[in-house]
Amino acid sequence: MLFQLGKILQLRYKQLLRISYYLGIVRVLWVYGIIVVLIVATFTLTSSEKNSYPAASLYLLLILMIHLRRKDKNFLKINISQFQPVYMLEYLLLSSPLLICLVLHGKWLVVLFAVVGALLISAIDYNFSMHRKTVNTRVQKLIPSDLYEWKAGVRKNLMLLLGVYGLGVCLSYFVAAIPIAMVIIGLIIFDFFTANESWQMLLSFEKGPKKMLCYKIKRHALLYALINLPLVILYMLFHADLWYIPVIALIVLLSIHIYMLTIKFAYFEINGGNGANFILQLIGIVFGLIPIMIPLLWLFSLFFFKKACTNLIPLLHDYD
Amino acid sequence: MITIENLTVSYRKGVNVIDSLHLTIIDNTINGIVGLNGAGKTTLFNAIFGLIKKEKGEVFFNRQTITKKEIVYLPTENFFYSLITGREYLSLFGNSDIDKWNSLFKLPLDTIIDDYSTGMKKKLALMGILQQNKPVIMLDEPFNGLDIESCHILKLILLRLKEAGKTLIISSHMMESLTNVCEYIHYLEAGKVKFSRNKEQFNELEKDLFSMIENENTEAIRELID
Repeated sequence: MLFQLGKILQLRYKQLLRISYYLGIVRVLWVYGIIVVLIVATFTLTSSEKNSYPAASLYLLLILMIHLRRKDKNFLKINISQFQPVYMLEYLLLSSPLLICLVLHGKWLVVLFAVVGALLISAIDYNFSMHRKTVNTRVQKLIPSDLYEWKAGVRKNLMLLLGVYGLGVCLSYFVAAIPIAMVIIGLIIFDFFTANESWQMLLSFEKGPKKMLCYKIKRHALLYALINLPLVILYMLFHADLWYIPVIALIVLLSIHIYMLTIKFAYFEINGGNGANFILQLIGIVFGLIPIMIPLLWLFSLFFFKKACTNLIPLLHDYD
Repeated sequence: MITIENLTVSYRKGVNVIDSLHLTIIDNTINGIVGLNGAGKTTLFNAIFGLIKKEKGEVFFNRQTITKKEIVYLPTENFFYSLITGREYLSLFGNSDIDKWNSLFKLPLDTIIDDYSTGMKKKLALMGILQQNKPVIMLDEPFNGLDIESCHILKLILLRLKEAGKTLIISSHMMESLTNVCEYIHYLEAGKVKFSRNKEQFNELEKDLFSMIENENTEAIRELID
């Protein structure tokens, strides 16, 4: 077992090295910059007793999302004799920035909370796909068929989406609940665009690159806004004086959403994944979180829109 | 001997994908599992391997509950970590004969797996499975995506593994690939083994299957096309 555990960690290390190599120096520096910002934010947050538990909870939520969505679960179950230590080790490594910050601040109880939380998450053996068919089938019927990314994404994440949405609604009398729920829902939905479709699916729109992209952006934006609308209204009911917060959140998230779509098609490869664009996506999310960077996000979206139009010409030029 | 007793698997209450299934697989034989889409082949494999929860029943190997120590499993869809090479993938299984195995499949092992074709990925997954030395080998659709040469090589490997004392369970949609290597074929329908046939009865099995399919579909095809 130790042999395989070592091998998996070795593979992860090689993956990281190769991602850095493929990204190139500029993007790698961006990523390292983002990571440094996140670590500094973690260090600052964990300095106070009040914020260290929420910071640890955020890390755990992130790990939980990773655990529920990781695609190698069956591979590990089939090929690794003891697969749970793999999860444990990976999650402890992932939360090491938090743990180090907490240790430096001497927050031993929160360290214990984070470690136990990570270990408990690694013990979860739950497959959403087996427990959600009836609700999912009904929900699927509500999603228009041309929004197939949504259909696939919702099928995969329905319980998670419903859980976050429900929590947002139930806790809506707290000022931060709905904006946080909107951000988490936004993050889940960003993932819908990480896989590329087949050529036939693109052809089914019977539109040239520019028209197809505009149509897709319009449809996605509409559905995304529709989903968030009840949350925005609810927030306005409970916190009328802060009505602009969910509106701004919606505009920012929508902007990131459109940015993600343009990236997807700017680097579109038939049936491919766009794992290498992960960094570009991450940059978009970080831009969205920093107010002065938002205009840059719009500029980037415009740039990637043009790039996407060019990239799709060989596939869709017949419809121009 | 592998004995499957009263195996029941369901994803939803009241709907059994595998329904009180009984099956005995003799040691040192190659067994094919056939059935139409949705018959429960992959679910049966997942249940035998212990990937999914059994509602009822048990799977025994030599009268003991089967464990991962005795069985290797190649699922239909294989997972590969991105940005790793074929050699790195195979190194997970701890076998030093990687290059010997690769003389059969001729894969560019030092290339990133992401650049492999579907068939190459299938070969790589097969290599990972076949080099593990366990008494029971279970392969779900192993011939899918393989070229003619690799299909034939795989058949030769399966026959050799049988000679080496392994027990093999294989599913395939290509009847001829099963009839060429299997000694028994078990036909799965609605989560049950409807019947099992031995080598001498394969012609009869093919005839029965194809005439059943024709009877069920000829009229619909005529309506659609005429």
